Amino acid sequence: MGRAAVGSRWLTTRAAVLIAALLHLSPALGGSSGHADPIEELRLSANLERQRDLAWQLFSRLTALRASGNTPSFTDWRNEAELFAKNSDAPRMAFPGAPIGAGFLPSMQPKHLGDAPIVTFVHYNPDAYAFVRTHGLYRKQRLDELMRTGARDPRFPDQRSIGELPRTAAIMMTGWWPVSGQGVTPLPTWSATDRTIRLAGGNSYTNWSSAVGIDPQLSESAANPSVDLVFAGRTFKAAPRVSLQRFYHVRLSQGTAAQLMRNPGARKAALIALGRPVREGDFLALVALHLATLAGGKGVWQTHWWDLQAASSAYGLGRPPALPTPWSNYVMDVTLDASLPRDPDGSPRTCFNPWFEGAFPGERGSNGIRSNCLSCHDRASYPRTDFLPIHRGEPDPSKDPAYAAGRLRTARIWALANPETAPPR
Amino acid sequence: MTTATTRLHSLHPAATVTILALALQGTVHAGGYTYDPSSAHERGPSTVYFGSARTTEGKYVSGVTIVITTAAVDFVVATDDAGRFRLELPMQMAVSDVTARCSKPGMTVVRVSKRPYPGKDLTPVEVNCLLK
Repeated sequence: MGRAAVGSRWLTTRAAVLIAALLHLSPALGGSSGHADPIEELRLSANLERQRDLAWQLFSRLTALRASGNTPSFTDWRNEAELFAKNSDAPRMAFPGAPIGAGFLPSMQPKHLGDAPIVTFVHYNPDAYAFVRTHGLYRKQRLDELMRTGARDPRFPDQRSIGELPRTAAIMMTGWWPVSGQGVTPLPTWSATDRTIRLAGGNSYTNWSSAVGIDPQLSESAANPSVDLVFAGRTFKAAPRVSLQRFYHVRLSQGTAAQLMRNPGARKAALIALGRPVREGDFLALVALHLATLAGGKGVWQTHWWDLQAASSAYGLGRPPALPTPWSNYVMDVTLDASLPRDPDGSPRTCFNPWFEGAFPGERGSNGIRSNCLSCHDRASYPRTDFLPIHRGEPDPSKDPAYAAGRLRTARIWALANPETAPPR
Repeated sequence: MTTATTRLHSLHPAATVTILALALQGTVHAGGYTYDPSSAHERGPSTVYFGSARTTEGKYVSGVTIVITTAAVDFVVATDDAGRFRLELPMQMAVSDVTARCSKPGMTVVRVSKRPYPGKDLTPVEVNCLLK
């Protein structure tokens, strides 16, 4: 039986029901059906093919247009700044909202001194937002209280837990590249076969050895002409020139551009991409996203990034043929477990996004490009702690301060482990 | 030159990479989900890299990307409104182990120069970018 047939058969059973319930697209499934947890079953199966099928289905749902408009469903999700707002009555923010950390307390603001950032936002679906707000988990005082009185964590009884988010909760982080409204903007592109990759160090996008030029004036159907690009001190001869239409993108208004440039990370990203701040008429092109759906088991942790060769990439395997452009230009990887299925070399499973994790250094056989979403997020706990060094596989609570006795597990959500960074809206 | 610096010079390149990678495990927190390789300088000795970007006519240029590259990591900075930059790198490194490059969209790089401070100290290092 072919791969697609296997995936389809599995998806038409219990998981199809679950997928329909996810992302707030149908009445919540909840956990009371009495059936075994299909996500946990899928995790334990270590069947990557089936896991990828599920992730692509979730991506299809995520990117489907809302019934009431021509924008994807996630454009109605809540921005991080809204989640942590002191006032629930604050006006809704237009998508994509404020960049990650935009409202952090001054002492907590990332300084972006020597890094290579992109423009990053975090979005919470209605059920994730409602859970956090209803339980007051956006407030430091509430987390302090739960450290004393919360339920014992089922895995680590010497710690407490905020409890599990609803099975219909989903959280997404998006990464965007500034694109000039006029002319061609260079975009570095990741390749797993890049010979300049540092196996023992960090691989920020300034270290990637290929690039494309994004041209808002080029039609999507046009053949890829070439263009010479200069980016981050390197020249890319005869790089492919691609239409902005091949990316999900948003046009910047005067107000949005001004808001972005007040954020140090977004401003630096603009200077690196354009050599100037963004302005009205420029664009943000979506280059990467993380999606965590807390649907059971340990959750579904998938990540996507734009790829010029998405049709032939190994990370494009299993993509639904009906997935429309621009979403068909994004590749994907997924993990449901910190270790399984194991990598071909027998080490714990690798699942990363080059845009988000590529720059992270590491040790003992792991770094950003050999990391695992779940290994990292499993450590999320309060009070806040470092998320480096990168490692894969199961935790070692005896040596890891993120698992020390008395801590509060935050349901694998890092943002909830850092409430003191909340924006004072 | 300090004893520690002398020892670093004598290390095998692979060992230097490992030491640098470990030194880069700076204080980072997931709330902002950012990794800044410069932030680790607060934990130990640092090397200051500074300089400017100018045109061949001598005019300072803002928004020029400067990339300081080691075997383990890239440090990236953009020149400020005055066309200058300053970085504190988290490890003392021989200037010969570091490369520098620069660019700005729409401009052509004429030359990138890297100049250590006179004497044997590893810090500071001046990097200048000339464009037209």
